[in-house]
Amino acid sequence: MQVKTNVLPAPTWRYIGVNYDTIEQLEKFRQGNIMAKCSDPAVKAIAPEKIAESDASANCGYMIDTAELSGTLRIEYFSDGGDLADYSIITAREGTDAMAVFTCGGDVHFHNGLTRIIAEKNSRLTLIKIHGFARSEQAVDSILANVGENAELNIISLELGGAHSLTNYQIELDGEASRAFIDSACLAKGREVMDISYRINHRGKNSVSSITCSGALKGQARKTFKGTLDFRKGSSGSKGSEIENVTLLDRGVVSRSVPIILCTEDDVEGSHAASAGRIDEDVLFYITSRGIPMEEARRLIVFSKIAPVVDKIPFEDLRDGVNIYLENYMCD
Amino acid sequence: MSDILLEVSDIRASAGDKEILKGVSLIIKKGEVHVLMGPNGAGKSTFANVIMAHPGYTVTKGSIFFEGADISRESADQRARRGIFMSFQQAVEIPGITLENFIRSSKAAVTGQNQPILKFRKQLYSYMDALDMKRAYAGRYLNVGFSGGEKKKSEILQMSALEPKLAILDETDSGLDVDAVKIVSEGVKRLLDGERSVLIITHHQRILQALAPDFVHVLVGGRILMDSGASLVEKIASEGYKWLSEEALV
Repeated sequence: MQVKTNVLPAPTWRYIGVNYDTIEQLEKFRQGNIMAKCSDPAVKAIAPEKIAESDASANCGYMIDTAELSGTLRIEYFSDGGDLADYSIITAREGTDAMAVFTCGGDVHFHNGLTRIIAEKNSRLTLIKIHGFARSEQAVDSILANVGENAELNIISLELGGAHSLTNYQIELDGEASRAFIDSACLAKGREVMDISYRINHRGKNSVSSITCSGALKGQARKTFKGTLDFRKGSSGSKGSEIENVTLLDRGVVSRSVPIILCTEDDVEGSHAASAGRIDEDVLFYITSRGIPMEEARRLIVFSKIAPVVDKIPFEDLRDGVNIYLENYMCD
Repeated sequence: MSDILLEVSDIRASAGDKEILKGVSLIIKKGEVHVLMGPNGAGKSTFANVIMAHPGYTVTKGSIFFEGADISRESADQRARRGIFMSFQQAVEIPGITLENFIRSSKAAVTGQNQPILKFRKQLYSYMDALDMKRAYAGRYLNVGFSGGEKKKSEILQMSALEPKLAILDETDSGLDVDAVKIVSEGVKRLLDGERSVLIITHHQRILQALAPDFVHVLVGGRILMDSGASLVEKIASEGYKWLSEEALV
């Protein structure tokens, strides 16, 4: 059954093709080896019956309480042929400062990930998500978050391809002076299709948000970016900004950008900027003038687009994995 | 073996439909310091970019030889690997690549040898110290958020690390205060070991006082109207270029 997802909050002309994307909803998971690994023994796996009680349809997951973490948390979800549906709940307890790194990989036909976040008063949570499947037909990743008073949520996201991948992050800035920052990078190639939807709803006074999305497209890849900042009644003094920057490596790619600012409050500031273009010739010349061959210069430029995100990954093996992916990406 | 490093013969070059260089010739021997002066729009930066093979310029006539090899058809990276370096008037910013990683990649490219991190970093820091450049800049993204002066130092830092046989400095002294000009000049001096050469494009006397040029060339309207010694710099400083154009027209 096909269902609509990543629906624009304010529809535009249908012929542009950005109002929504459609995904296949599975009736039943395909069986395979699912591996879920967590670095911190204090973190408990979610019992299957608990998952069944929730709205989520999942075959693995963890319940994370930041007050119990002893360091940076690392969770790996991996599938070897089966459908992967992970469900995680993170409660950032009052006054805590935590970092969690989630990776999803392997060979899946279907991936559906949902992370539910509750950031309590004065907490800070940094969530790093890396999606890099060797093969996937349809990959959906969602975050639903509520951010409390003076709490801060940082989401750093890296999307490394997939035949059809959808990202749907929705953040509610409920508390006064709550903050949310999304910093993401994506690479798509071949005939891959990417639909990215970030929505931040400002509800609390003096709340702050920013969305930064960068990446590169090659071959005949198609990417749609939908970034929405919604300043609701009562969010006076709030500020938000969104920026998208995409490098188009081939003529056959399609990059669509839909930055939206909705506003029902007077005293707010929202800004957006989007740019998509080929590699700047002056930048290429600068790099090659230092002896670096053209192909290596192009690789460096693409890497530079995702590096600000990659540099935030605290684990060297993961950074190395991204570099290997990039080498293959440029050679394909 | 010839001591000629660069030999540019009757170069004509255009940007789009506009011809900018109208037959420029220049010979630079090993160990020499040359200065290229001229009014705005004369074609000085174009000349530098043409030597470096900027794809935005079309060379319609002439040849460029470097150490006896015809490099007229070579790309920028090939020329850089032969030992030509250009300091950019407007250095580009590249978020995502640190200054250190960029120079390390460049060094590996021009030498053909991998650069071990710790050894390279030690050498880089010594160059930075000499340029009075904070070491923290090594870990910052290339030229991003650098002031005008810091960008110029970044260019000289790259030159120092890459140790080119020929360095072309395109208005590297512009926008620098007196102290910074002195530091940059010292950086260029350290490169000059009797074998390496420099071509300085400038409007100012200050950097030339420190570097003592062997030859001064004046480019006007896409042509070199005069080749002379260092004394020409003072005359240009006091009288400008108008007399030169008039003299050439006579």
